Amino acid sequence: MISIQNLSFSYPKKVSLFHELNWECSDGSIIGLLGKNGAGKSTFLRLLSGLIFPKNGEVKVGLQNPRDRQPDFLKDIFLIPDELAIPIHLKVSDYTKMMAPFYPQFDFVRFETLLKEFEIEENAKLGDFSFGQQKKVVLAFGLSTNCKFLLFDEPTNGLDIPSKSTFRKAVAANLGDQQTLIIATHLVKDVENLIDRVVILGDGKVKLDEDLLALSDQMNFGYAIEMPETAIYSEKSGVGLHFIQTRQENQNQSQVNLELLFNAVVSGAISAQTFSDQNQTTS
Amino acid sequence: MSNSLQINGTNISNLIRYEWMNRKKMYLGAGLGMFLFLIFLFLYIFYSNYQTTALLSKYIISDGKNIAWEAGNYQGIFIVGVFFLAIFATGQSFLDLREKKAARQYLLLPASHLEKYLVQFLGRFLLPLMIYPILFWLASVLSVGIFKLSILLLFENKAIDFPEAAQFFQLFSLPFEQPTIVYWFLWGSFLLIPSLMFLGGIIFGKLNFVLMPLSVLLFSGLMALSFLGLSWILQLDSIILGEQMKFEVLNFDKPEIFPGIPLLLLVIIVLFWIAIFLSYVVSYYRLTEKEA
Repeated sequence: MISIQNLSFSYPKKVSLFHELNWECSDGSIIGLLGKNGAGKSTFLRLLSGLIFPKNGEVKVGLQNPRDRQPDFLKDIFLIPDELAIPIHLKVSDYTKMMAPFYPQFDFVRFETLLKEFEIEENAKLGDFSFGQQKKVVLAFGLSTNCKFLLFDEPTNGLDIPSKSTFRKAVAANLGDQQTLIIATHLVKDVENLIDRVVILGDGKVKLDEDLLALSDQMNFGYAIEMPETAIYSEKSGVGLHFIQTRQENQNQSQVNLELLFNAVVSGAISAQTFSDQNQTTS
Repeated sequence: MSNSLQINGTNISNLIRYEWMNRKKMYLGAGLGMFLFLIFLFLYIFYSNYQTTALLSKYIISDGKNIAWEAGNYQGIFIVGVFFLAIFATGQSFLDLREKKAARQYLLLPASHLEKYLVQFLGRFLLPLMIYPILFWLASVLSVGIFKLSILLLFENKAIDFPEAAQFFQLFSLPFEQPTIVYWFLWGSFLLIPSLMFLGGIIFGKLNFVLMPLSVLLFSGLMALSFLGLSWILQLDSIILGEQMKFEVLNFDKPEIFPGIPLLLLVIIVLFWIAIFLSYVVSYYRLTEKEA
């Protein structure tokens, strides 16, 4: 379980990034962490991993305070930052020899399989790879560590189209029930069919934190030539418009349009309050 | 015991493997470079002495034998080498923390702060200080061998006193039979430089080799100035700058706090040893508080 209470954080000589932020998540979910540029997605992951420390408030990952960077905690968390720091003079196999012993649950067979799926040669030097290929190595490594908490910052950034699909399949196939994966991204389409929960950061707070099943249960995401009267938010697209409306009982469930939802939340048309009001109405 | 203070053999060996695989070329390059440089330096000294002898025998009365380089002559070079080692090897502590990207990976390696700290201490402090005397001694032996061989094969004048190789334990000998106050002063200053450079690695990063020596100089300057200032306050005519420059500062060796132990020297020694101890404490806490 991850628990954040009254978190405040700011970089030196900068305005506050998070103020009194509260958030919780139970084990075993794939969370999409969305937000505009500068909203603090990467910072959020770094706070969770213990790379930076909150100015105020408490962060708990599992039973540990990330700030302590205890070995037991570090064995259970793996962060893939947006900017990689990998030893380019090493071969992929040497990189594994160097890093894998740190993670007692590391699955070598899975790593080899994932490398094959990503079409990565184990005996090639990391320095000979493109950024995307290097990212694939680290993604395969991260998914093989069996760490309880996986934090991926822009994991699909730099991946080609087939690799993005392979990544989604790899995550779906290799993540255990007790593992929590948080994916911070601005490429919402890449994670649309992967995540089961969405968190949207903005203005120093969590603007929305909803289960995707609950979202598709409560909201209807549709496309029409004219905006329905009950639409909460709409966006022009081609000859018609994409819209979000409250789902009626007789309506079929629709797939959540993450991009539309994100824009709606960022514009203020939808907020966490919208859902709590709705829950109260239905109950 | 707190987990962050734990020492686990597996974690230590993982960290050593990490360090070695990341910087194998640097370690081998530095070791080999230092070894070759020492050989070059010794041979340069030996041949210079040989040539000087040849010149002396040509123009001045000489017995034809060269200026002998004895085992005891190595110590000065050895000590200078230790200071260079402190600046360029020990000063390279916590290399992973110099760049944000690398620091993020390093700080998240599953090992305690103490384990990471110990591996740094081992790799940047103990290892160079252990390897250096061995390489130094080996370089002297090899240089003497090369010199002898070259004289026998290539030079006409073979009736010379060949240089001696260094004697390992003589490199560390101090000119005192039993510990004295000067002994503690010398060992203190000998250990202080690498200790401060080790600390500087985590404070100043890339610019450590410039900024830490500069900080030490600045601190020493301030100490000297305060010493002069104190002298002037206590005795106004002790410092006169003008027509006749005059520095009559307080005596360095007076007063004595114990027989033969000047107070000022004792204070300096105490400061040295506190600084040595604190440099390790501070660098450890710097590591625990490091953000990336």
